[in-house]
Amino acid sequence: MKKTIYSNNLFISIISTVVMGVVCLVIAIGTITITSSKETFLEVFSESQKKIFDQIDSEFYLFYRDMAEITEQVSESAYVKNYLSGEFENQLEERNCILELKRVIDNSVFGNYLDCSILLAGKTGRTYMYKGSEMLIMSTDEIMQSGISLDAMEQAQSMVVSSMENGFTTMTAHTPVIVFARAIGDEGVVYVTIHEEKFREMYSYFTSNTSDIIIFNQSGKIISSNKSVFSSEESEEITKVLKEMEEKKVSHLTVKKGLDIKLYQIQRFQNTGYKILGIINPNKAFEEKYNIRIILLMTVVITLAVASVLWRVVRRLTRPLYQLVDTMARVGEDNLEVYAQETGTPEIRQLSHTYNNMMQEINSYIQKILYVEEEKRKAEIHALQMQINPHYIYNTLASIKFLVWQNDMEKATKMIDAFVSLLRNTISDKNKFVTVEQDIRNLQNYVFINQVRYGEHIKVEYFVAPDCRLCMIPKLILQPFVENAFFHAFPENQNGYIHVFVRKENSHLKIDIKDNGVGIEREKVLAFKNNKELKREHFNGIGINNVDDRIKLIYGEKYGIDMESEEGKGTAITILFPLDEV
Amino acid sequence: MKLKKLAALLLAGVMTLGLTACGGGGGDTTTSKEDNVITIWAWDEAFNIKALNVAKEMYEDINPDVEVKIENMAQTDIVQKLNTSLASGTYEGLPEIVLIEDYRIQGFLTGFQNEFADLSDIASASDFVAYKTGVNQIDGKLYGIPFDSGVTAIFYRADLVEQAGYKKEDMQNITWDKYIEIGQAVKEKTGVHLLTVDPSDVGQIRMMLQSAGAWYTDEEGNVDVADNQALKDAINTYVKLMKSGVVKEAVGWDQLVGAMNNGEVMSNPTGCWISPSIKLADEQSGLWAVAPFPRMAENPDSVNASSCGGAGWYVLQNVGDTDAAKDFLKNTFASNVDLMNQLVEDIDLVSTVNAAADVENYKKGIEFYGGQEVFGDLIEWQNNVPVVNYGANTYRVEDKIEEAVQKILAGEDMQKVLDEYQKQIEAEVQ
Repeated sequence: MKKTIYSNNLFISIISTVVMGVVCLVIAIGTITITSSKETFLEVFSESQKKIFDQIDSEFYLFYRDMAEITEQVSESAYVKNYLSGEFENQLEERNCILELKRVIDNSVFGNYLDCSILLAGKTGRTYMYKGSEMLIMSTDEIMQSGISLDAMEQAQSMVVSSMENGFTTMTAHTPVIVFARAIGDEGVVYVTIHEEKFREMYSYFTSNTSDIIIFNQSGKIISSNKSVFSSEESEEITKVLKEMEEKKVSHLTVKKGLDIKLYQIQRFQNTGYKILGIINPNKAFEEKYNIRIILLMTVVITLAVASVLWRVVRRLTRPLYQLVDTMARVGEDNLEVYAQETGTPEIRQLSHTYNNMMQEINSYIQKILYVEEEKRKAEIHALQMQINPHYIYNTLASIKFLVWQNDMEKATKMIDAFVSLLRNTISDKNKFVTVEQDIRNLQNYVFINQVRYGEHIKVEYFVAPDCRLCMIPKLILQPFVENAFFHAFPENQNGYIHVFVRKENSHLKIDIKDNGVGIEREKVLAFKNNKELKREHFNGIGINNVDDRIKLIYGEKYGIDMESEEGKGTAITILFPLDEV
Repeated sequence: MKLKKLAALLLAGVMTLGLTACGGGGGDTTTSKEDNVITIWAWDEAFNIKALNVAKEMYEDINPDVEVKIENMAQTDIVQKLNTSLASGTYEGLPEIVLIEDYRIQGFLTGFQNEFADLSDIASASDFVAYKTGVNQIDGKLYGIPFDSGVTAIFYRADLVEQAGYKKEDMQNITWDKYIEIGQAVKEKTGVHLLTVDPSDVGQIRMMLQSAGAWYTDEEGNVDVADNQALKDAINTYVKLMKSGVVKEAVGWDQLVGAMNNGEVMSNPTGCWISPSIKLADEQSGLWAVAPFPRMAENPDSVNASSCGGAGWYVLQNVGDTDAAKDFLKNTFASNVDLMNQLVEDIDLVSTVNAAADVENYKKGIEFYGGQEVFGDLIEWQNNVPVVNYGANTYRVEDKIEEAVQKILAGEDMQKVLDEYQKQIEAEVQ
C-alpha cells in the first residue's frame, strides 16, 4: 500500500496541486466577485433607495399637501367655527350649518382618502365626525387636552402631524394612527386620522425584511415606520446614527458591528421638511439576492468535476510514465536487456525511445568491452604460450650437452628431436588450438626430455580413446599438470606413474591426469588455484593455477578443472572440455 | 466600476446557471388568496362584528380547517371600496363575504351582478321574512343571506313618559302627532328632548315612507318625488316634528348614541338594531320600553310598522375561496337556529330566518326594558312591515331629498321644491 502511494506520488501531487489550485482560484475569484458585486449592489441599492425616497417623497408630498388643504379648508370655514361655538339663533340655522359643514368636507379632496376620517372638536365640547358611524372613546375635554391638540393650538396657523398609539374613536381604539391636526381659530381643532398601517402602504412595498424605512417629522419624531416596534437598542442606535450624520453632514452612513453591517441613508423631503431614513442590512439583502449556499455548492461541484476529469487525464498521461519507471526498475547488474514500451504522449514516447536507445548503446558497448577484454586475455595467454622459460632451454641444452659428452648419441639425437618438436609446436606453430593427438605428442616430448634429465623412475602412460584423437583443445593445456606431478608428487626419486586418460563423456571431452604420488595436503588443494608461485623450472609462463581461468575464459563457466587428492595415495586432476571436433 | 459590473454580471450568470440547475421545483407566487381563509367585512362593532365573532366560533366546531378573518370597517368605506374595486375589476384586498345594507344592495346587484355568487344552492327566499328578500333576488336567484331585521319601533324612556303624565298604553299604536304631543309634554316636564335628528340623514322620512308602503321610486324604479303623496305626507310630518321644539340635532352615530346614553333624549324611533347601543347605559336599565313605530295620521296607508336599515351577507364570487365562504354562510347565518338564539341574547338580534321565530330567547322578558317581551313584539311588528322595492339609488336620491327638505323647512313651497327636485334627481339618477 505504502509502495502504491509512493509510486503514485507524481499522480497524487498533480491531482492535489491542481485541485488545490482550483479551490484557491474559486475562492479567490468568488471572494473578489462577491465583494465587488456586493459593492456594486450597495451602490445600486443606494441609488435605487434614493429613487425610492424621491418616489415616497412625492407621494408623501401629495398626501401631506392634501391633508394640509383639507385641514385648512375646514379650519377656515365659518360654518365650522359656528358649529363648534354652538351658538345658533334657531334650529334651522343649526341644521343649515351642519349641512354646510358637511358640504365643506364633501367639496374638499377628502373624498379621495377612503382610509382617513375627520373629527372636529371644539372647546365648547361639541364634536363633529364626518359621516361618522363610530363613537368617540374619550370625552371632548380629553381630546382637547391631548398633546396633539395642544401642539395644534400653539402653532395656530400650521398643520401638526403626530403618530399616536391609538386614535380617538372606536375604530382606531387599538391601532396606531397618524393624526394631522390644525387649530380652528381659537375654537377647536380639526383632526384627520389615518391608520398608521394604511399610511405605511404608501411606502411599505419598498421595504423588505432586509430594509426598513422610518419617517420623521420636522422635530425629529418618528411618524411612521414599516416596523411597528424597534427595540430600545435599535432606537438608541438610530438616534446615535442620526446625530452622527447631522454632525458629519452626510446622507449615508455605514455602521459596522462585528460582522453585522448596516447602511443608513437619510433624505430630507422637499417642501415638507420631513425626513426619511432607510436602513438596510446589506449582508442580509445580498444573501437574499445571491444565494451563497448555491455558490458554495457550485464551487464544490465544479471542483469535483474538474478533479474527476483531471483524474482521468492525469492518469492516462502518467500510466506510460509509470510503466517506464517499472521497466527501469527491473534493470540490474545481470539484466540489461530490458526495453520500454514506446506509448503515451510524444514526450513520454520520446523518453522511452531515448531510454531504449540508451540501453541498446550500453548493451552493445558492454558487449564490445567484454569482447575486447577477452581478446586481450586471449592475446596475453597466447603470448604466454609462445614463451618458453629460458632456464628450461638452458637446462635442456645442458642435458643434451651432457649426453653428447657421454657419447650417448642416440639418446642425444632423440632428445634434440623431441626438443625441436616441442619448440616448433610452442613457438612456431601459430595455432592456439591443436588436436588431442598433437598435444599428447607434445606432452610425450616434454616427458621424454624430463625422463632423460631426471631419470626414468616416473612412468607416464597415455590412454586416448580413438574417437577423441581429433578433438581440439588449447595448446599445451595438459603440460602444467604433468610438470606439477613430476616435480611434486614423487619426492626423493620415488618410483611412480602418471596416467593420462582422454575420453568422451556426456558429449563432453574429459581428460584425467592421475598419479600415485604423495598427494597434496588438503590446504594446498585449496591454495592450488591461487598459487602464484612461478617455479624457475616451469616450462612456460602458464602455471596450473591459471589453466582453469583459461578454460573458463575460452569455453564458459561450465568447463574447467577439478582436483582430488589424498595424502599418500596420489592426485587426480579432471579437465572438462566441450567437444570440438575437427 | 465597469469591471465590477462585469464581475457582478459574471457572478449573476454563474448563479443563474446554478439556479436553473437547482431550481425547477420552486414555487410560483400567484396573487390568488390562499384557500381555507375567508375574510369578512362588516361595520358596527357592537352588533355585526359581535355576531360574526359568535358565528366564527360556532363554525370552527363545524369546520376547523377554515380560518375566518373579520374586519371591522365603516359602512361608507366598505361601500366606496367595493364600488371602486368592482368597477375597476381589481380584487386585491377584497373580502370573500361582505355585509351590505338592504338599501344599497340593489345598486350593487344591478351594477355588478356577475361579481356576486348565486346563493340559491345554500338557501331559498322562503327561508326568510318576506320583506327582506325583495332586494336580494334578481331573475329568481338569491344573492344574499338576509341578516338582521330592520323592523322599527319606538325605543323610549317609560319613566320620563310617566313623569309627563302618560302611561305605556298611551305609546301603543300612536300617530306621529300623538308622539310629538307626548314629547312636548316630556320636554316641558323634564327638559329632555323627544329624539335626535341628524340633519344630514333623513332616516325618519324614509321610515315614514315605508310605513305607508311607499318609496322615493316606484315599482319600476322611476323617481317618484313630485307626485308622491306618501312622501309629501312624510315631509309634512317631518317639518311638523322639526318645528315642534322637541328635536335635538345630533351629527353622527356618536352623538346619536351619546344623547340617549346621557339622558338627553327620551326616545328614538328607529330600527331594532339600536337596542345594543341603548343598553350601553347600564344605569338606565329598566327605564326603557318599546312601542310600535308611529304611523302618519294623514296617510291612510300608513301602518304602525316600518323598517330601517338591516343588511344581508353577500359572497363575492371572483374573490378567494368562494366555496368556503358559501359553506360558512350555509352553516351559520342561513340556517343555524342555535346561532340565532345565541345572537338574540348577545346582540338583541331580530332574526329574519323564519325557522328562528320560535327560538327560546325570543320568549324571554328583557330586564332592561322592564321585563317586556321585546322580541316577541318586534317579530310581530316585523310581519306587518309593508314590502317595498328600495331600488338601486336610495341614498343618491336621499342626498337630494335632504336639500329639498332643507328648503321646505326654510319656508319654500313644497310642491314647487319637489317639482324642481324631481327633475334634478331624474337627471342625476338616469
